[in-house]
Amino acid sequence: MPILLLCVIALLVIMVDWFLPLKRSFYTGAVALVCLVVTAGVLIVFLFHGGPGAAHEALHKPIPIFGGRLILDTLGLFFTLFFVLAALATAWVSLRTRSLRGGRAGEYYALLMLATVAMSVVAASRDFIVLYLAIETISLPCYVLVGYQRRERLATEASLKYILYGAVASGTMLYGISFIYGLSGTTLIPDLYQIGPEKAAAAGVGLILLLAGLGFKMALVPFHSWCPDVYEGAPTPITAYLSVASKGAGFIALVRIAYPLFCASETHLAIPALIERINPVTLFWVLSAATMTLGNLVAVWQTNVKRLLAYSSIAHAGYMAMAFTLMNKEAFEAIVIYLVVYFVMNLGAFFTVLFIENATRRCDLDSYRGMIRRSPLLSVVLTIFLLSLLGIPPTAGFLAKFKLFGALIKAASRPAIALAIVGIANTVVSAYFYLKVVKVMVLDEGEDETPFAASALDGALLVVFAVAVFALFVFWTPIQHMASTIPLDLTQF
Amino acid sequence: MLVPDSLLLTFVTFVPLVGLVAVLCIPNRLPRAIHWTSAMFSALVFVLSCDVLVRYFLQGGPTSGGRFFFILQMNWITAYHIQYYMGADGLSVSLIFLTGLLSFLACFAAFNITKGVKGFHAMYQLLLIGMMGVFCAKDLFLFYVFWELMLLPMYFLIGVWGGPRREYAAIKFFLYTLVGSVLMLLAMLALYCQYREAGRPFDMEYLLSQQPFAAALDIQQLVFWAFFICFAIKIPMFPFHTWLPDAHVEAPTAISVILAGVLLKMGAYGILRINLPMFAATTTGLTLGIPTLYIIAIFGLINIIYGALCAMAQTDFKKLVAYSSVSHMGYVLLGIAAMNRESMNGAVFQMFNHGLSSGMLFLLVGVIYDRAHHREIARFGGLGVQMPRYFALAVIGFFASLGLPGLNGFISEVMVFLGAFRANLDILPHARAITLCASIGVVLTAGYILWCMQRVYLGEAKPEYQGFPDANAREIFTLAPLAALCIFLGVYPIIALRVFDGTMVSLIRFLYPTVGM
Repeated sequence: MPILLLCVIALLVIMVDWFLPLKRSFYTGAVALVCLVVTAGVLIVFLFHGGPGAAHEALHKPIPIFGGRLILDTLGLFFTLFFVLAALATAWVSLRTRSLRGGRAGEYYALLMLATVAMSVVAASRDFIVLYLAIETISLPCYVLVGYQRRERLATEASLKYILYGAVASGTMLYGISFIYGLSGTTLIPDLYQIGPEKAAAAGVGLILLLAGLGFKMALVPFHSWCPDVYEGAPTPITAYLSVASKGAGFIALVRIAYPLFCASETHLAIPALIERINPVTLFWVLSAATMTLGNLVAVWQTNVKRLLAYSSIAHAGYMAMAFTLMNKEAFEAIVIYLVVYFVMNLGAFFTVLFIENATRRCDLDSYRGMIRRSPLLSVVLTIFLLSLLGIPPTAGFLAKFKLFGALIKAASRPAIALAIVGIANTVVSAYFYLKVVKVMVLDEGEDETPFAASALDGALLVVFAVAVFALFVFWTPIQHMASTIPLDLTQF
Repeated sequence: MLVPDSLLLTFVTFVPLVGLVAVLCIPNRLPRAIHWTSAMFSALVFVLSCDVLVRYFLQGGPTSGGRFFFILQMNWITAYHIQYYMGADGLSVSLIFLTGLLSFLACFAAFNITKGVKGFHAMYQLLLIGMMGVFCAKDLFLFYVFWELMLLPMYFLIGVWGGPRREYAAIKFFLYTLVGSVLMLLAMLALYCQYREAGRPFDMEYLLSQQPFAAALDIQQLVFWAFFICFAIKIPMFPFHTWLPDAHVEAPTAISVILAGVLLKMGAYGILRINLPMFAATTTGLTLGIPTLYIIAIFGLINIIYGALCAMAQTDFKKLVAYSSVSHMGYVLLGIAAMNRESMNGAVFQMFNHGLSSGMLFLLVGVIYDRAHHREIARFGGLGVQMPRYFALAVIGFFASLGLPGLNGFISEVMVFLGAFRANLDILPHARAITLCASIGVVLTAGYILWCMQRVYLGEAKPEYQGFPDANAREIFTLAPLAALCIFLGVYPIIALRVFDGTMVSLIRFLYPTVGM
């Protein structure tokens, strides 16, 4: 049970921190790191020991636990691995972040671990209350982590903003859940679809409120406005973590709620009458189109690289939300694959920004002028990540987008194709600001061109990410295969 | 050679990847070593491309009727039915050889680069992968990947190592090409949706046999023109040509050679490989009530005349050469539109010849720019006396571009004109009128080239150019092979024509099975 393992690690990290003298808090991070590596190893062996997709064989029957409040299945385990790896990468770079050195680091890693535990609970939840609690448990450590550098004015401001927005969002979400509970009589997710179509109006209100809460986590427009400020103010490793893991948790929560719908289309079952009545397609159409358009357009004006990447991550949430207009197997695979690719390219981009910040203590676009002459390696890998975010072949980002747009066009309905065209137009717009960063780094002359180099360890980490961006492009079939073997089976949910 | 047939094209395409890694491994303080490593890998690519040509001849390519050779077909991304499918017919083989030759020679022209040598050659090798890949790919998706792969290296090569207005030129090139790529991507998605059930939506051979959207001609026309505009931007066809003068002028010499010599050919290659055969109904039919080939011919005519007139008006030496490319690529479009054996062979031969002669012209401009550090035609004069060896090579280059009998350009232009003049009027209406108008282009070309030569090379030697050294060994090494080929192909063109004649004949037969050649 990986969630238990993660809980144990979180507690272990706290205890290690107690017994270590203040100056030695570096070791807390190291302990967290080692434990995360072990967990990731266990999960990988469990999921892939017979080649990709083998977990489905191992988990013939998903195991419901706590009276079906949680479910142990491939999807959940896969995303647990996703969150563990994100935490692992974050813990690793946190150890190497200059601004986080000194002071007590113990609680930092403990909080990171707690957030990760909560995320894996989200991935396994089958009950609205569990889901709500898990999402709250993600938020609380994140509030603290965002404001971890207490003396930084921006960090404190970001943390406060995050708390205020988060509190409103979770309140809204809980209110929505209470509607659904009132209508269905239980808090189990599958029971949502038992609600009769005559109660569609009330259920619709409940679902929209619920979606508002999740939209906050995913940073969908119009619930996105916290995102740039928090991303800018937070320590950069935490920004990377939020942009990938926390956003991923929002998506996986939505996937869990919509899981019966994905299954319905796969097994050609009738779509529940309630959903037929509410018709969420239009809602997601508008949400995703608005999210990516706003994200990309506003990113054009950004002069701070962290803010620029924040808007870019909003835009990517918009791309992924497109898949929810389809709710079929193809769209499900597209979300899973997009999240995996996004994991690599977005973490890579933020980590590069972090290592540049480590050396220059700045992350405004002006300080990137002539970066290619200051640190060729960092400039080249950042270029690769940005190109992948833009979606130019031969990078994995291109195939992820291809899969997503392909799913929309395959659906061959008028709104789906219109949305695909909106998405492609957005991609062209995004070329402007991604390439602007590349242009500034390569073509512009900087005032300060003193060279610096990332340490060998940091460089190696980034090279691994950059190689992964290409490797996922060339060896696409395994990841595609892996996504397609995650079962969509309602009888097992 | 040791490489098996099936892997030959893979080697030609991916040897530069090894070169890229090798270049990156050499420390920055050894710029000579980086130059030479890059040159050696380009030489290896050239040797391999010669090998492609030789094997093509040995295996009876010229008489095979447009068959594909050196085929390698493997599944790549099975979920979307994308294959790693390489193969080359006569058209590809001739362009692979041209690419190998020009990239090898241009690499030496880059030896005078001092800033960021490592980056330059890394980008250069990356560019080489993309160029070779485009001519080898037989899978549409693979073709697209290689096509996109060139975009970024070219952007950097112009933007970092270019002239004073390099950033403007680079971003203009990038945006024009990106718009074309997006159009191509949309067209490919349309094909994907049509044939995903059949399981081979990107296989060029399959698409050719299926004739996509033959039942819905309005959709086929949209797809046809999406591809066509993408390629027309690359050619560059009027009115999409405005990126070219900027990019050519700002790019460093070596990159101008590659741009003019290879990249422009990719546009024409795409039209011949994808547009014409895959959408035969649109090619042989009407668009908006006008015969499609007629539209292409008219744009070709505009390119010839407009390009020549622009070239005549230029005061910048390099810009003149750039506009001459616009004019010369017009002959290719006209030849394609006339759709008979002479004109099609002439068009492809013109592509090849333009690669040689414009490559030479850019190298020639580069040689004097290195010495004079300006390119204003009016300020030159009497360089022929100063630099006799250089002048001799320049005469060959300019006259080949002009189309002087005895040099290669003459053969291809005459073939295009002969073919276009006797084109079937059902296929290309007003063929004779168009050809007659286009022949004005010959006079204009002679006009701007002779006038330019007169102003630059002839006349009194000017004092400020006293003591300019004659072309050095490196420069002669880059120019002489091209000059020799220009003469050789002018005297014995049949050897080149044999390479792609079979492909062109089978293309025409495929489009017009009943019409005589």
